[in-house]
Amino acid sequence: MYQDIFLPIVFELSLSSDQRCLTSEWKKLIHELLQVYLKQFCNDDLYIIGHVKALAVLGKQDYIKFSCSNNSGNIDIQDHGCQEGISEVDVTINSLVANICESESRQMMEKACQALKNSKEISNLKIDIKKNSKPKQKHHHFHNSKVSDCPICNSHNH
Amino acid sequence: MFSENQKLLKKRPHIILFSGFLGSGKTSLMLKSIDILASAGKKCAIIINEIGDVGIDNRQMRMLDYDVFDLFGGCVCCTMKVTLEATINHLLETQENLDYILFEPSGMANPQSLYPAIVNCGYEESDIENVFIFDVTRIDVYENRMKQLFSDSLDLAKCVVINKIDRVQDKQITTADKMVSARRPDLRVFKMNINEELEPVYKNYLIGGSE
Repeated sequence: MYQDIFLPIVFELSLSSDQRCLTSEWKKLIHELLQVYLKQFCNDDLYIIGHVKALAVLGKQDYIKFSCSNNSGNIDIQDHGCQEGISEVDVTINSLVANICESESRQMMEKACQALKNSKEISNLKIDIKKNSKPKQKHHHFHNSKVSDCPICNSHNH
Repeated sequence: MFSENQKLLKKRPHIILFSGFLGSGKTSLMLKSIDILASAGKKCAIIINEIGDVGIDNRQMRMLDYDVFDLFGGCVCCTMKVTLEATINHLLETQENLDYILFEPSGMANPQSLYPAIVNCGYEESDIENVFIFDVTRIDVYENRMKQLFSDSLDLAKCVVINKIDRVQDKQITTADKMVSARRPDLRVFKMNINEELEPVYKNYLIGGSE
């Protein structure tokens, strides 16, 4: 197994409501969104979750961090700060999953966002996938011929 | 390369490397280790290498008011080697009275490949305090898919933290322990859940072990 089969994909989401919502409400919603996204991997043995982590920014120093590192789909959550009553939250998701292409992962994220849009927890919820940052290159580039093979992929991909 | 003058000028800060596969708990342990060291009056610098166009851990640390040096956009084991060396040299040249450099490579990096860049900065391999974080919930991955990475990681480690022990049964912890001792019977092993209060023995090791 070459470790470089874990494709890094970044999603930047903007979540908003027409009302100010509590941190706990945003936490519950984002947790649910990630669960829906992850469940699509967990249901298929083909996919291997390396690490899917998300940072929801609530204020200058306030955040919620979500982390899932195996196919059980369990998500660890860490809170910092307790910003109350905000109507917009930016979420960055860094997804490292094996055996998936970027477009497929994006479709899964869109499906997860769609599933959450009718949430009754948050009033008039809007979810915008602002950007799907493409790695400009594959993450391993080992072109220095003077040195030995890349120790991760053994230059298998070069 | 670290100049001879620099070598003579001052005592170099300790380097602690937090190694381990994706999601093993490297960031969490590093954050807690910083707290322990800062409480002991130690001045620390943080270097992080994350895969992906946008970092999560570096943002988190900045929100916690830490200054972080990013090695960004590639895996430090190959594309970022030169950047790592330059970053360490920059710290050595500009940060006075620095006690520790804490470095968290990407979970995809083979620690073996990081050592030359650190050695080029004037360190001996034996100077590198490599804390290998072993996610006990992923025993099968290490046993079946990443045997070589696991062996390489253990060979270089100064200690092992078997993490997430609250999520598995005792027999899995025993298996993890045996996997470590089969390769490195001499290695110091800490078993804990990093998200909880760290074991006092680890705290003592961290302060005392690298002094």
